[in-house]
Amino acid sequence: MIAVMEKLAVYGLSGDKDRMMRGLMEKGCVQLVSPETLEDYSEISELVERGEHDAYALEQRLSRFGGAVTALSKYEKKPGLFARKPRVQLEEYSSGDAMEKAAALCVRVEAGMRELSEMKAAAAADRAQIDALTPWKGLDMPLNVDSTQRADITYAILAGREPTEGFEQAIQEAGGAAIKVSGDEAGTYYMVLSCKPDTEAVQAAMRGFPYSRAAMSGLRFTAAENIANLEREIKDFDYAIGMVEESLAEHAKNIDVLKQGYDATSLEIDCEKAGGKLMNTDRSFILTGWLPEKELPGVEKYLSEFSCYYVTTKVDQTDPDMPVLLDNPKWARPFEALTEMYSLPLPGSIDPGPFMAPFYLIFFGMMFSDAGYGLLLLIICLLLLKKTDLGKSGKKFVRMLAACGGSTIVFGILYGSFFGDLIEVVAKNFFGATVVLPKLLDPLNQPMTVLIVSMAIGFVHIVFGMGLSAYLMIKRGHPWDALFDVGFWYLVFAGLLMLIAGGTVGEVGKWLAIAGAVGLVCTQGRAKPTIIGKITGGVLSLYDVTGYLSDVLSYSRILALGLATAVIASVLNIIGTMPGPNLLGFIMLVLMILIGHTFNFAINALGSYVHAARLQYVEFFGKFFEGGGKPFVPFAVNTKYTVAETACEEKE
Amino acid sequence: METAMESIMSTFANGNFLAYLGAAFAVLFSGIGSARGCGLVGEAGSGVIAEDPDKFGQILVLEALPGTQGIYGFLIGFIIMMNTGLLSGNPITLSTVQGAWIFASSLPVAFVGLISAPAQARAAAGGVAVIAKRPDQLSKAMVLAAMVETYAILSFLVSMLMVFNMPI
Repeated sequence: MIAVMEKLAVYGLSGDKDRMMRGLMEKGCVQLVSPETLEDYSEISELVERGEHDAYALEQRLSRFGGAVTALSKYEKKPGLFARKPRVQLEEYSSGDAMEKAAALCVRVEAGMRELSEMKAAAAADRAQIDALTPWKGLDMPLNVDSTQRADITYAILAGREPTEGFEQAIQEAGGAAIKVSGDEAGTYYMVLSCKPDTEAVQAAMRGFPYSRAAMSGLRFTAAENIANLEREIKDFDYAIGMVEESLAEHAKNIDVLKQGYDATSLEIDCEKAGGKLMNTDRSFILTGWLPEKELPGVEKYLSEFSCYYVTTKVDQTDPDMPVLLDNPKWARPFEALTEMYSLPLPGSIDPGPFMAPFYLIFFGMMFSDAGYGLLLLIICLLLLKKTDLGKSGKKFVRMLAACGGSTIVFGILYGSFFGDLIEVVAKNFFGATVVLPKLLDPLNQPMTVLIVSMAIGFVHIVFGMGLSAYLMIKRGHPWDALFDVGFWYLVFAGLLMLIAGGTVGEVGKWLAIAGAVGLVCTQGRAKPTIIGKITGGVLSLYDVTGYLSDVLSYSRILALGLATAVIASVLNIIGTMPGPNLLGFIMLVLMILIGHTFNFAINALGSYVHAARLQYVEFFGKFFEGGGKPFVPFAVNTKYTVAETACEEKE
Repeated sequence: METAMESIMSTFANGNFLAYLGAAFAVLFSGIGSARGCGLVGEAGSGVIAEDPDKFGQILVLEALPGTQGIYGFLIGFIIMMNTGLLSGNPITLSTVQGAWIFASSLPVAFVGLISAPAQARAAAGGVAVIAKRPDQLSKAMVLAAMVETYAILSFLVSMLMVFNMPI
């Protein structure tokens, strides 16, 4: 069902504003909109001014807290498989004390992070310097000495691995001496000596070769001494880094303070932004928004605590601007996740959730079709629901999967399948006993039966979808369209089915089908302007029968995926029992169960989920669904790292 | 000369050979298709993971989609091996006609797998781009890729029904 929406306008006193906003946020059932939509807006627009919101400072605080949380989470002790978020009472978010603590911690963390990155950068620079000095390690003279009284010294790196005889010779000819210090892949390292009068000539000779000068100025000791110094420095850095990391790890124990601070700030931002949707005078304010009808009593009760005037107006429920909230009975609520994934229905159309739910369950169950896997899925989902914080939409999704697990168990029992034929195979292999699980329907031995069942359910699914489209047409005042577009097809389908039955029923069916077809030919071209258009439109519409046929055939995937699950499982069991009834066989079987069945579970759960959804989205939704509704986004408590506990606990 | 011809005939126009060739075809071609497909999506996905390692799970789901063709082919190959008694150690002697039937039944899954896996992979690789920008839209990307798989499923179904109902 699409929830009925009303428009709410509240005229309140400025003094109450903050308290009222906080309260509405806690209730989380009003979507604020700008008051321009009020009917008498033009009259009051001169009296009021729009609320301003300036969240810049808050946003900055948010990003600092966020950065600190990310930095600290590295040092946080690893949470177990099922981690829960910290619980915070809603009032505590606005506690100034907690905020101060968070800000103080944030400053300390930031300082630590800065120190850490500076030291890491310095250590990296030292390492680079060591790399640069290592080739000169063999040189036992201070590196900053570049001349003596009579001679000049140049440190040159000759690039590449080319033979260097030419270089040495050229320098010798110019009156200098090139002493090779070392060589590696990057190049050859030379100390070039020249007597002062020859320096010019030697430099000129060097220019003929691809060399670069090594920068040595400022290095007072020998290369080996410098390296030793740098290594000592790196060691010191490593020690200091360890200290800072330890202190960060200590801070990480208080990470919840930061998380709360982050969420408190984001709530403040939400309030600030919501304030921008209000209209203000000196002493009063106007708040407007969408409110689901069923929440009205609660909100009325809350507003009566204030001295304020409020009014709700009923609106046209087919207004495309109306936000869409899906509101279904509890059993169908998890399947809203499927609808939301596709698109929200337009206001005034149909929420497919409750109609699709039973079909989805059947399809998923028939595809996954194994009691063992279904049980596993159910257990995993229940554990997730119980032990972790999933958020609202995550919870819906996992609940849906849990229901699918249940349906898989049912079909698994029908098909007599528990981890494939594990029980039979193990009994035969290890105990020599013949166990036969009761099978009401065995897709491996009666594939045709399952195929026909699949397509029959698919046919019902499609016919049901067409029925929903007829319902929409009638509701919108076009009963004739419903008859022409859906009713005649129903006649054709019914006729064709009776024709298959044969006998006198078949004879009646033949005429029913013909009547339906004639009806279609006469009416399907009615939108066309010309007579010829009307006739060709009508005749061509009969080709749609191929569309319906391929739709029905598409449901054969239910059999195929069911077979895939069963056959992969039995292949795994065969491989697992191949070595025979001995220790190796036992190990093999355990491996197959742990690895093989896990793999089969994962790949087929994914396949069943996707293909059951596809049958809804393509075959079912295509018949009647009108998507594109705007989601209802209430002004509510949204937190990231913590779970807000409010007085009115989430209704489930 | 004649005996050479005869020995060639008895090797290659032999029922068992044709049946095993069918098993090999089913596994071989659908496997090639899936390997190429998974590779293609994996390649596209690693770019996204480099930017945001948290998306690994979603990318993995997309990468798994074109992997099913190989599984379908493997299943058909396995069933052929099982039905012809190859696994239990005492192979049934098949006539040339029977062997040719089994060979024919492996063809749908072999060739549709070969082509559809890379095609599905391209759709899934497009889905990777969707994940990069809007990770909440995973299911739409998945459904787009799953549309291609329909034909692999149909071919698997036909191969399966043919192998199952083969009179041996």
